[in-house]
Amino acid sequence: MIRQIALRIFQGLVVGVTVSTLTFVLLMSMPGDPAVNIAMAQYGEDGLTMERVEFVRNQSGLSQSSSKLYLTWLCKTLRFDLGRSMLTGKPVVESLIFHLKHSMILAAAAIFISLFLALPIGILAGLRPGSLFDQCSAAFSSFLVSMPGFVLGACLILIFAVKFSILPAAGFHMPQNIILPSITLALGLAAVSSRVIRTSVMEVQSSFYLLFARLKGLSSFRIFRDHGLKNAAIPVITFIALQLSHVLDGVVVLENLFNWPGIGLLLLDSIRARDLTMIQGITLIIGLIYVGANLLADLICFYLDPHSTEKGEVP
Amino acid sequence: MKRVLLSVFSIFFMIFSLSVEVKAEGEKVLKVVSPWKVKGLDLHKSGFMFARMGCIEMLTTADDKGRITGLLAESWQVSDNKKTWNFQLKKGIRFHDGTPLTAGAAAKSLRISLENKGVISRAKVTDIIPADRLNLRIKTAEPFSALPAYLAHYSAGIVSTNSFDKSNAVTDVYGTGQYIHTGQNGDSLFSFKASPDFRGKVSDIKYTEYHAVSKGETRGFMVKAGQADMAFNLSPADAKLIQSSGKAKVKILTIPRTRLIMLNCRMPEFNDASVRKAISLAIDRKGIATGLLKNPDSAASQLLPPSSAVWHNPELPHLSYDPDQAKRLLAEAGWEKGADGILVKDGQPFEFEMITYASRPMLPAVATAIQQQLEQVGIKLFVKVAEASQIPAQRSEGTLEAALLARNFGQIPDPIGTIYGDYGPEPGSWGAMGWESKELNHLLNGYLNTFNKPEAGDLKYEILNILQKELPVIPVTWYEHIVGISHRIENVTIDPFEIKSYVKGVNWTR
Repeated sequence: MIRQIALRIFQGLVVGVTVSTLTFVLLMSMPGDPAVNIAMAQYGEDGLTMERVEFVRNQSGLSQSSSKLYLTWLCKTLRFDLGRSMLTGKPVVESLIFHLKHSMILAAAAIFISLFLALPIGILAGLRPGSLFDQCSAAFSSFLVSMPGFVLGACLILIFAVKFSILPAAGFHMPQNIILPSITLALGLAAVSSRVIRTSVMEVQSSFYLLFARLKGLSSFRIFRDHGLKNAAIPVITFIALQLSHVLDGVVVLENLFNWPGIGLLLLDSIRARDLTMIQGITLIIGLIYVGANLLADLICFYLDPHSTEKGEVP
Repeated sequence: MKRVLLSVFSIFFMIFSLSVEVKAEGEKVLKVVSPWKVKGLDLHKSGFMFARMGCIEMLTTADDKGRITGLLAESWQVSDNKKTWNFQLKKGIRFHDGTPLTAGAAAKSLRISLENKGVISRAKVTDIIPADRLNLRIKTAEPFSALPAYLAHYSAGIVSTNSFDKSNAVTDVYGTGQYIHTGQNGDSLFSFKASPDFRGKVSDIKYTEYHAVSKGETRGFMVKAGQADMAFNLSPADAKLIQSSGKAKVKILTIPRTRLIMLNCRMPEFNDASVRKAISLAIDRKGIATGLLKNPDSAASQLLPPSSAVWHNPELPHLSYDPDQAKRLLAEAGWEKGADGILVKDGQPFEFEMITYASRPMLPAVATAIQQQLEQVGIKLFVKVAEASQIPAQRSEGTLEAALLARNFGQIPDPIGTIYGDYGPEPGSWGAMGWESKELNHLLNGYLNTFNKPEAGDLKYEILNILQKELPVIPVTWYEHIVGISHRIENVTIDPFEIKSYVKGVNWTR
């Protein structure tokens, strides 16, 4: 088991460095001059002059060759130093911690609410497939999945912030700021995960071991609690781990709408400004998060089904 | 399970009640919402926010007509050779860290601004020295009459020497303004409190916050939800919605920023002044201003709007809309109608690409309207919406054909700062491209060298006349500042030059 964990950590580092390297190559091969973007972000569009562009180029190290720039970054990264943002001059780690903290808060709240909704809906629909409840939940799920998060978020803002003035429209500095973005995100997540849970429960319901338990004369509730839940949870947990990774870095539209300073918004701003050191730091961290979330899911699956390691399935 | 559910509900209830409590008490914090994030504390990056939140002040400022007046400077004189300026600072002013305002502190701030390529680096400054405790001496390489206007820019803000670390980076901002910087959260939330030592008129607003919110719709939502007291850079559509909701007020002011088309005059199509004039005549500015911008007064009749009172010349012949005259001029220039209706000359169709960007509201919509209007006279325009940085980047590569942009002529209250940089001997990233006028250069240098006001007045009208006649850039509409204002505050004035404190003169509604 420890060997497997060590392997995953190694995998994570390889993924992170590979993704960052690819990002560097892509950014450097993009048309345009990164120094122009950084100068514009620093001085504003009105203050952009070529003299300032050259000043920024020298100050940020962009006057070096691409290979030297990359090797400097790699050597620093191997010493656990992600350098300083070319745009703000602040340590990259400082910005990453601030934005990652907000992304994690949002992700945790959204996944918690989504599970709160999806678990009962998915289990009930899976236990009674084809029933009216199942059909209604499928229709509601399709509706939420097809509705863009931006539209759903804007509707919630109009109702709860503009119409009734009981929640803030946007921001991040008050506890209640988390409610609308997390609900918006959670509704989209619950729409999908409730269907995954339903399918998983249906598969478990039709399994041989549940039939055997019924033949033993156990009650339906006890059969599902003792034998169904754990088995049905395995694919669901893997799916939630993927959702977690997506929620951490892939909800930039919602972060923008609610002005929530997550890692997605930081990435967007950094790409706009072509802040190379920051973009590489973010891609490295996102790579590590994906591997970390998968490792966590594997560990939970191992806890739920220890036989899986014997069969060589997970981790 | 029950315990978990109970805890969850308790947490949500607490959060919810907190929200209601804040609303009920009407927390007295004035919240300003603007699109611009603060990319570090150095004043060339952050000065716009600290100046506009009333935290830092400059030596000079501008009145609402753009005339330069003293702010931290009591008065100033220029030497006989016009190359040495003496600024007398006001007495008894203290920075927010308690240290007194001295010429030494002001010199340090300005020297660092010069090193960081603040706007005074374009004012030919050679030396900044404290002559005595309150007398600051600034030397320029040659006579430069617009220096006081350059000193009004936020990058020339004066802060205490304790604001800088050993490498001259700003670590804390200790200004002299009405509000003290008390904290920040990331690069988008800054808090301030009223300074008890401020010398000016005291406001009943004790606490303020600056929120950087990049999305225009979100700024609109925030002002409608009562979460923002002043929301800047709203779109005309948001302004209409806010007005109709009755939940906030809207103020619209034309500012010295102009939406204009920059043409690459190195291209044979645009090298001919009569073709540029034809393009100008083909644009229905009134239609764009009325239909799209909902403000007929924003149609540009010349480069600078009336809000730039010192430079705007109402007697200058207006830029007009006359598609028939445009067609005649194009025909005289050798452009003939092709089979598909697009003009052709030497077998080449008259088509070009125009880049614009979405970070300023309405630019893409205006570009699309221009596209349609030019097609009426036989010119095919391709609109490309990209990041604003693509314009200077493509320009330096030489691949830029045309761009629609919103140029600020008020960043230095005397527009000569921008006009000289854009249309002078070495045009900057947003100025004329492949166009130069020796006559204009002579006039621009004459304006900067003269300290005689009537003479400067004549020169600026001649400068505008050349730009209006030659059209190295084609003004389309003047930019309007649309601000959403909550009913919680009153006496809000919008500074057309975007340098004064947002909160100046503002009070809670009684």
